[in-house]
Amino acid sequence: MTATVDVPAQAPAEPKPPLFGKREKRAVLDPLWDENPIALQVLGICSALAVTVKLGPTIVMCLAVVFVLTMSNTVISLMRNLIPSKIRIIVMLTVISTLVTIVDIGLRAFAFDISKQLSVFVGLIVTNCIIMGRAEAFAMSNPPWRSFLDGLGNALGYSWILLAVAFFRELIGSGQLLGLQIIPRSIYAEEGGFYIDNGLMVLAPGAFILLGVIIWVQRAISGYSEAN
Amino acid sequence: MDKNSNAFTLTFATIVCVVLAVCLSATFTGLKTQINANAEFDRQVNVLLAMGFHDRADASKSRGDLEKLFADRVVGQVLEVKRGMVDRDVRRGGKNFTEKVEAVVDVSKTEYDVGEIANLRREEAKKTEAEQREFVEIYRGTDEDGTAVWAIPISGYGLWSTLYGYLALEADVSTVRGITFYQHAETPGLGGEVDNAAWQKTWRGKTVRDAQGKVVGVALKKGRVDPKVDYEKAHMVDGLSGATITSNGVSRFVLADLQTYEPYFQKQRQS
Repeated sequence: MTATVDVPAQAPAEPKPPLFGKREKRAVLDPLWDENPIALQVLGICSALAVTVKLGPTIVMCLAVVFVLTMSNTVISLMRNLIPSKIRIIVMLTVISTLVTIVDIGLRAFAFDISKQLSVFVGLIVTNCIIMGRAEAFAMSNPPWRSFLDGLGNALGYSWILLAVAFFRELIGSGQLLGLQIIPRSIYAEEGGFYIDNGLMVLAPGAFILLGVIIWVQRAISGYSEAN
Repeated sequence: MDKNSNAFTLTFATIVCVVLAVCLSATFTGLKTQINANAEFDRQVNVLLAMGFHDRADASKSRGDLEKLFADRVVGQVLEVKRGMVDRDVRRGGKNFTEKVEAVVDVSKTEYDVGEIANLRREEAKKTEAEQREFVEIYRGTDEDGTAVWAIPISGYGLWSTLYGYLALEADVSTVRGITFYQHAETPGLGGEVDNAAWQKTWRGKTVRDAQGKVVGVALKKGRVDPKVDYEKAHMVDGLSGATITSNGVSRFVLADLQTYEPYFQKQRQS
């Protein structure tokens, strides 16, 4: 974990921080690129592979993670000076799983079909390492507003990679985007053309390959390497 | 107060648990009606899918259209298993319907912990399905040309979970018209392939009776069905790769559920 802990846990006489100071900006922007949770820390891979076959469910999954991560960071940051350190992990997990269950109930009430498609993966947000990671590394030692921004930044950093994977998987694997046919039906082999959808992209290995390529491109541009 | 004392830790843990539990139950209670309505609609759609009145790929029908289609073409009824009679006054959604069927379903078909399943299987093996369920639901649909289509709920254990679905039969109560599953927690990609539309289509046209009219069900063969073998062609579908236990479960409970309805179906065949 490359944690951005830069404030001691109890800073008693901290002056009122600006709404968008340097630290707040970094909390949102770093995880988008320089500290991206998927590309650099390689966290949250499970759902990046599992729910990216189609763009639609992926968008819902990303919204769910944005909600859970910002809320869990905020709530845990609010309680950070009260949580006894020996039960802090369990308290974090309780908060996170409550939020995830609320999302799950909400989906079943307002987006039943999508909740069926996402099936167990909504529940598995609980085990998404990004969320626990941010709670432990950031929210436990930073004030609520900054933790909220950090949660937002990390969730968005996770989301854009997921959306990129889903975009290519749906386009190459099904010839569609959001269920709309993009590659014209007339060029398909069954219609007398030459084109066949790449079945590999519908399966998990396709996501692995795409994710690898995205991480490679991202690291090539951002200049990150494991060595330094 | 010392933050790391046992008293504080316990108090803190209790407060956190109570507050979060209240949040959860408030959310669920508030949305319960909506969730139940969605689940009920989902079951209706699955009956329509099994009967072939609707296709999963068809996105043109709105929720209202589908509810109307169900109301127009399908009648839900309650069957008393021992007598093989349909109570014609009790329709799906009616007051008596809920009292009769839901009460029985609650007792015999609730979901269990994984650890209890082995025990339950042993217990279940001693009973016949008919003894477990006195009243069961059945759906009678009307095809475009006016012939009857039947759909029965099917459910039973796979590997991790109880699978719930519908099996639809043609008017001759022998030929399979379609199958769907609307709830299960099998492994995605393995047992979860029961949801695969292409696989579900292979059920269509299979026969659940042998030449003597005895119910033999439709079995999932390990591997591929050999179309040269008559018995396999008529009574078997391809098994699900990497999901032997789910496949065996589906074979088992499809047969068991068909047997539950047999007294009633025999009457249909005679008339």
